[in-house]
Amino acid sequence: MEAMAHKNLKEPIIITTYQTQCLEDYINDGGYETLKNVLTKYKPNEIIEQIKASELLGRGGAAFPTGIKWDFTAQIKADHKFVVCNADEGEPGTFKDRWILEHKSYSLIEAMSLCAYSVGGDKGYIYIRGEYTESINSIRKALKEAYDNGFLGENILKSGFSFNIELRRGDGSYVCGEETALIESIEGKRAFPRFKPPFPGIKGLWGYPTVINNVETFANIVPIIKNGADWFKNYGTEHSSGTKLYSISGSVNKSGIIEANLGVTLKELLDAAQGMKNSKTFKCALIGGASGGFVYKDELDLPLSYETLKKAGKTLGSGAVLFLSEDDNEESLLKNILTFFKHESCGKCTPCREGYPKLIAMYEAFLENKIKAEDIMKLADVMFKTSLCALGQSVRMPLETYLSRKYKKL
Amino acid sequence: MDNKIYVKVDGKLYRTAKGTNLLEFLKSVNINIPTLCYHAKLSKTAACRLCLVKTNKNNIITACTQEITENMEVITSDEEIEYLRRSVFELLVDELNTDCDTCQLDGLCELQQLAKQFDVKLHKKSNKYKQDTSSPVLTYNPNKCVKCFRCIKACDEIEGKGVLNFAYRGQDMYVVAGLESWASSECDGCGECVQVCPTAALIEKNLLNFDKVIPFEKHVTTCIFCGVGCQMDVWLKGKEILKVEGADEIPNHGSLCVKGRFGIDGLLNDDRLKTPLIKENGEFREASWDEALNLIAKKLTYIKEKYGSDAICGLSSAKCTNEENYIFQKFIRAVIGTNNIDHCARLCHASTVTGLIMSFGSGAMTNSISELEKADAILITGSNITEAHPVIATFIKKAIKNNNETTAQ
Ligand SMILES: Cc1cc2nc3c(=O)[nH]c(=O)nc-3n(C[C@H](O)[C@H](O)[C@H](O)COP(=O)(O)O)c2cc1C
Ligand code: SF4
Ligand code: SF4
Ligand code: SF4
Repeated sequence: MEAMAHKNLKEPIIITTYQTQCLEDYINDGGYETLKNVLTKYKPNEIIEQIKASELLGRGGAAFPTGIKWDFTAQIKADHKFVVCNADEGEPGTFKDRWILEHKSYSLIEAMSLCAYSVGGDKGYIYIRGEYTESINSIRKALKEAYDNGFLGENILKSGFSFNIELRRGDGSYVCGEETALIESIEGKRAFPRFKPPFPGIKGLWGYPTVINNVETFANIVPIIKNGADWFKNYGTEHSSGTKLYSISGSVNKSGIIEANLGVTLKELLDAAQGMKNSKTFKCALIGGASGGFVYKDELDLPLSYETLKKAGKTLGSGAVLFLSEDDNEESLLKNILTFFKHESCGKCTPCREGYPKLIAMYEAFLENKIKAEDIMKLADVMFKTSLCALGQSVRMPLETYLSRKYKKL
Repeated sequence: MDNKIYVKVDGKLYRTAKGTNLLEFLKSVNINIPTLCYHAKLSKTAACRLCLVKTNKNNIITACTQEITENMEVITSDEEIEYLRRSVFELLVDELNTDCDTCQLDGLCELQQLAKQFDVKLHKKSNKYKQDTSSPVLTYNPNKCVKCFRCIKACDEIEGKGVLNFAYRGQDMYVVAGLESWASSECDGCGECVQVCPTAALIEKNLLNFDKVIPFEKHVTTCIFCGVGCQMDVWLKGKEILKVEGADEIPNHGSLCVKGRFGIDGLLNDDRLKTPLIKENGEFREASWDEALNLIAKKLTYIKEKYGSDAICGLSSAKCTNEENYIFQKFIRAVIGTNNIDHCARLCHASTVTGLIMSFGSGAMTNSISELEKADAILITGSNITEAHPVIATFIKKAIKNNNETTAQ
């Protein structure tokens, strides 16, 4: 991405490029060269092998290997296959996809076309968060230019390959970012998540095989194909290759988007964000958004990669990092999180629909010392084990990472 | 080689076809798994989260969404499974107004049965949501709604109408017809939703006239409103009709239309003829069947003897069943001794009967009704099926939905 284009990301950098790109600049920079090259010189499975070799993990939160995902869909014979870009970006504290949508829109479209070529897709959708007016405008413009210049549509660059992309707007519901709910929404239905399996890669949009990837995942595709899997693996850690866009917010001096290698420590991110605001001391950070976990002082040196956080019982999720100082209060933040989930629960399944209101009542009772933390965790555990989608499952992590810390202190 | 595979359930080995739905399989071998959102006639939902089991492939899953695969081992009950099922069930009933004591369906409700199974007490609570009583035939009480999606799916998948969906989200969610209410929606009152509802959230309006459905008697009969011949269960309390359900038989497989389900209250109406009437001096008077039949026999015998058999003709009705029509023509031919027998359908159906004989060799249906579902093309002439034969219309709608190629014109 920004740093990757310069091929020398050593230290975390704050993204500062906020001027909009135009097609001419993109093309002068080698844009659409990769697509042209691939369409004329490479077989679809060669691209998939390249993505597999890069070990790119999905950036939407679940960190599923992208190459393997594409391969599933490529293997199936079907009359239609779809490629969907998940640009719903609903995770609280996450705003990195927005930057890509507004500043790397051409690369995104090129990547979706590459994906379609690799898996045999004929139609694409970009499902974009409705509130992102600027992003919608920038994608609209980029799509029009791509059509006007033969990069999209029938017989792309006279290669015989055809691919169309349509833009769909979300309408302010967090669950629409869940891939199967998003698919229902594109189909014109209410966004209730589907059960999995079957996964979208096998049976997705209108029952056809569908690759669905996060914006940031797609943004890594052109650089990988252009520079090769080995180049990509220079960045990041052994099991989390590449760089990551971290959405930094909270009580730091410089909030914004920071691009850094996967495996960067929280301390390094804090330094890049120019430290805590008003010289306050760092208390903890919430990593991964509302469905993420709290990381405390003694974990400042923990490398932020998918595998290390998983091992520590946390998640990198979307890469949102919310810094809290001594003056900030995790207790009320947690209350906020619970209220958020209650508000966003789609209502389809019992444990999430009925669990969140109860969890809030219990949490309030807990703050008044009327019940024990274990009681809350019991319910959170039932929700984790029995909810249909991750919206109902994920609350266990913020609760557990906070409450287990609180016990220790007690 | 068949495609049967082994599956181990609670240590016991079974053989079944690969890909069989786990919940359906467990039911078939009489292993009781709690569920509310599952319904044999509907697609899987996985919403209630009660049919939890463990497999050797996944820790905890819902049985209703699991296909049986090679070397699968299933545990249907252990401490954790029971704990989780019960916890989910408790969350569910916590929000409902389970006023079983004053509920018509006391003793028939699926939620109540599960509560017994889980040993969870059900209590009366205050109503949180407003009821929708706007439909002339049914009422919806969201305070008893377990949000199982069955009604929504029945309306969509069985009836092809898609009138229902949930409005709002999370705990505020409840079923809404159309944009606002049953009365203002496109609901035509077939009542398919009522029949699949596991609780008393959706019930026939008529039931509100009774305290309890139990005890009741159930009689199977044939609907007399149209030629589809739907089989139905009529629930009776003494001589009063409680409600009518579609019987799971050929041809309707459980479905009914508004006429069959809600139209037979005329049976007990005071305006209906209940005894034969004999006209004397220009006035009708009530008579017994014996008296009326004796009078008819006397007059027919008189006419036959005086003017001959051909002076009499019989005309029967499409409102009668095939069996009744058969007996009637037999009577006219064998007892009266004339071929002067006709039927109202000869006028309206003569053209189709002739056309069918010429094309297919028989002047009646050459296929079963449910086979319509598999038709590649359906030609409809001169019929408004959704009104005239609504249950047949559901099969045609299914054909169109299941198979993109099907055209009905
Ligand atoms: C409640 C919920 C919300 C989600 N929101 C988003 C989102 O806004 N953007 C996104 O890319 N993925 C989101 N996801 C994850 C997607 O379901 C899916 O895993 C992702 O789009 C896959 O893309 P990837 O493999 O490139 O990460 C969400 C998941 C859940 C359960
Ligand atoms: S977990 Fe929550 S958001 Fe997900 S399906 Fe269940 S109710 Fe809907
Ligand atoms: S009304 Fe009945 S069938 Fe419909 S969702 Fe509620 S409980 Fe289920
Ligand atoms: S379609 Fe309706 S009227 Fe006709 S037999 Fe069936 S229930 Fe009766």
